[in-house]
Amino acid sequence: MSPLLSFFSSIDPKARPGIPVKVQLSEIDESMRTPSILFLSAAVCWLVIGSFFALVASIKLHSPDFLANVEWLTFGRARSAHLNAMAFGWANNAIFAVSLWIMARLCKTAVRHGGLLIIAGIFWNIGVTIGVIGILTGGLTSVEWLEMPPQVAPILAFSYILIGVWGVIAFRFRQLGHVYVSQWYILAALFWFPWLYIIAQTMIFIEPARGTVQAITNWWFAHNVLGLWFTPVGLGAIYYFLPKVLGRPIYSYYLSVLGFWSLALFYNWAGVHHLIGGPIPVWLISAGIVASVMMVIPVIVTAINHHFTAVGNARATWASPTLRFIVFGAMSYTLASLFGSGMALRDVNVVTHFTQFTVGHAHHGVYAFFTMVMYGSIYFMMPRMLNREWPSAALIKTHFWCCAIGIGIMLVGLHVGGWIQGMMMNELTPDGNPKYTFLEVVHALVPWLFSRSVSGVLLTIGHIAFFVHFFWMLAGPKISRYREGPTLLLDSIRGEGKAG
Amino acid sequence: MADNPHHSDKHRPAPSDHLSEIDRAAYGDDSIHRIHQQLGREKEEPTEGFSQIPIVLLFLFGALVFWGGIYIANHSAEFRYDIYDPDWKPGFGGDQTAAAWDPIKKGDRLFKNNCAACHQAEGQGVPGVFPPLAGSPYVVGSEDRLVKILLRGLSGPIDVLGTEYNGNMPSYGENGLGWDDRDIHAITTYVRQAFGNEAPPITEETVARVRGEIASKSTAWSADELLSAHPLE
Repeated sequence: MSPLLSFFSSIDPKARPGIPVKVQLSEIDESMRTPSILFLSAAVCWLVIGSFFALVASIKLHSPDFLANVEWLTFGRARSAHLNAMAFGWANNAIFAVSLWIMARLCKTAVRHGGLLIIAGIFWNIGVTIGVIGILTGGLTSVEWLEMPPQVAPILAFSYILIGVWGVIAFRFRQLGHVYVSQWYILAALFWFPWLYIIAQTMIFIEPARGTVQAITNWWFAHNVLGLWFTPVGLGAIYYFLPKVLGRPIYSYYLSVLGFWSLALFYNWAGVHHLIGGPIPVWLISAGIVASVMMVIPVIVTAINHHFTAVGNARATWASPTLRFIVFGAMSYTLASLFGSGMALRDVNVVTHFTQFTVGHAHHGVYAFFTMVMYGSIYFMMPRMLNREWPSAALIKTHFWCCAIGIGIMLVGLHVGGWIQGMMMNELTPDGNPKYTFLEVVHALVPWLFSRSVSGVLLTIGHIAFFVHFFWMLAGPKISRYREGPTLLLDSIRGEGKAG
Repeated sequence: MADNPHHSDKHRPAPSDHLSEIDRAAYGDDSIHRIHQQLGREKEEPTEGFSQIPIVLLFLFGALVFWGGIYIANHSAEFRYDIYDPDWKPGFGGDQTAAAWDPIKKGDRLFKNNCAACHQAEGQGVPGVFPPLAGSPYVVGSEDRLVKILLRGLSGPIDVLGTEYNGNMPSYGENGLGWDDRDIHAITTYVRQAFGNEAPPITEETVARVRGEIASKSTAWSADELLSAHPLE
């Protein structure tokens, strides 16, 4: 059969005679088990490592003497190590596990050569480890989001291709005609990320573009990692788990379509808003601002779609560990994105640019939305793959509350503190000079930065609870609890047959 | 299906009932039972409803797109690559760099970021260490001497307005911070006209000439060296 013909036959929507869906699912879960557990174990370890760097960097900002003599942990290195450990260690490993698993389930396609996936996953984590050590030993670049020494890029790029291709293969050999919305997001993201990463590496390090084009490329990459990699996988996970756990259909297919394509259309332009006021042609910035504001469309559409899917199920949502995290993430997505659109406006950006406000916003998106959704996904996946239950509802609650309160404190502290910082930096005396010296602005920020360290401690406690719980479930003696039903967070619901 | 043999034989359903389908799956009774404990409670795979999009969104998105068009029209500077001002309108002219260049403004910024830490915001200096710029003959006097100080720095004792100073000034020339002729022109012109000084500006051409003359020198000046070439007026 010619490749073209076999391609068309493979997208033939006619229903195939098959075995019961749930038997297929159990077989898929089985085939994904080892690679997924590998990715998730690595992700959870990176989460704790990244939290450590985050705490160091955060404390240094209000107590500069802290670890001041440790060369490996100077602020610049600790902060970059935090970002890269979280983005490439935690987030990417979690994405690999969650997105490939959802993809395989929705395509009803088991992974056939899981060994390759495991080898690629090991190499990916070796690459990230070398990169983070490179940052700590001073080999970091000055390009935000690409601080790892450029020498590790080939390892990461090749491992990524070997990992991401499994999602594409699963899609290529999928069963059933209808392609569900989660599959669109995940398939698109699997292509978007390598494109972003390879273009950014090429245009900034391998064959550097000249002048301000480098800065434009840098922010195109950095912003799109959030918008075209973390966001679509996060949304794909919400679209899968929300109706899955509640047992209700997604509210509207039409809204799903509109949300997906408007995200694909507008997000790619938005990164330039990081360069407002910078020396690049002004039309490019204006286009970025308009695209950032247009992001309201996919955000509103997605929010409505999720809201009407979940509405009326508050109790079930609150009882399920998966949904508690996922709904928190979905709400944060709406809020963070609307904030982001507002921050792109020139009049707002002139205050928030170069302040902690931006840092707060980044955590709003990556943590309160993306990371919370990944937690929820992991709470759903693990029992299916291991055929055992989460050992402790108390640890899940600890994890949730520490993370929810922690990120809440951080968001308030950094948004309010950052706004004050921006107003102080912009305030002028009547003769046109800055009213406050740099040090006065720094002093005014200290209490807000301190609140961020408090939130960091809470988040770290939550992460350690998750770490302990995860490896307890993984390594602990096989518990016979699976006969008792899922681990839920409200006692009265336990045993009613709700999905975890 | 030729390229997708995975489930075909192993899981071909028996013509009869549901149970025998499961029996043909690749699991023993025990694992089937165990897995079904997990999956039995799981809801069906997600599906999509087909509710209509609320009409109010049409108006909201229409308004957004309208705003976007207006914004682009007003702030795109006709898509020129050389315009950085969002409020630029046709007829403003394009050569912003030439119009905006003001050595005093540039010099003011350079001074605040580089010089004020030692020479102080009002150019009054710090007794014994950093000489004043206000009224200093080294600033308002010979142009060449001032440019030379900027381009190579100055170290060791120096007498300014009757007071002895002993410190180090870094070089802003090729062996130091590497400022170009234009920045040296801006900073020297600025310090000659700020803090109550009223000396004429130093041109870029002068800076370029002096730079050429001292190309072979690689160390900081001493006050004696400078004064032997350019005595105080």
